[in-house]
Amino acid sequence: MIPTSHYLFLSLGLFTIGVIGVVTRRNVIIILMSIELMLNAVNINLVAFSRLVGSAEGHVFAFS
Amino acid sequence: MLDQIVFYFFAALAVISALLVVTRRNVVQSAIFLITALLATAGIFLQLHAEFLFIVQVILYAGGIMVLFVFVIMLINLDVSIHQVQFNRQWWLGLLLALVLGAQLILAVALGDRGCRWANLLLQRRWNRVRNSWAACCSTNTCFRLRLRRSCCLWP
Repeated sequence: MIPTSHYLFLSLGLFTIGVIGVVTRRNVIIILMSIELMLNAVNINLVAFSRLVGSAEGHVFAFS
Repeated sequence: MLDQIVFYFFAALAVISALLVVTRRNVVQSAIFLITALLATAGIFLQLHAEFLFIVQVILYAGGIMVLFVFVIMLINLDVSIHQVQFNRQWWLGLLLALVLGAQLILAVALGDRGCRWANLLLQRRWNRVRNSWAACCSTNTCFRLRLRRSCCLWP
């Protein structure tokens, strides 16, 4: 059983990389890709907390 | 044991390919590493017993949005953009944001379980063994009916 904090560390790392990509790159397509990375990090957070709480509502949030 | 191996493998894959997305000069290489990052995220979803989100991630992101990205990349002229300046002069802003977020990470590691004591109260409820798609469908139909009706025109 992996603790939830590890998922949060992973999500924070991916989000930080996405923020750095948005701020520092000049190419618009790479900025969009960095935004996609940030959205995925948030989805990892939602699913990890959904696993912690024990309901599937985080999955619905991540899906919609 | 297998759980931890799978998680740390996919986490390392996601972080490394995300770094490569941000730092590559060629846009096509960035797109390919973005596919790797999305698939690693899908693997983490599968490790979290979110099978429905796993297959949605594979079909929708790695299959749909990435085709859109590659299509747009093929429409623009790559030879011009490779020889241009790749990075902004806002490196100080990026450094500041990275320091703030990294300070949060270090603080969270240093606090450890004391910072998450409120979360341990939630651990009393355990993950029940119903099927994942069925549980997601049920909570969609019960809790989120109003919100989904409002946003149904935005759904893919």
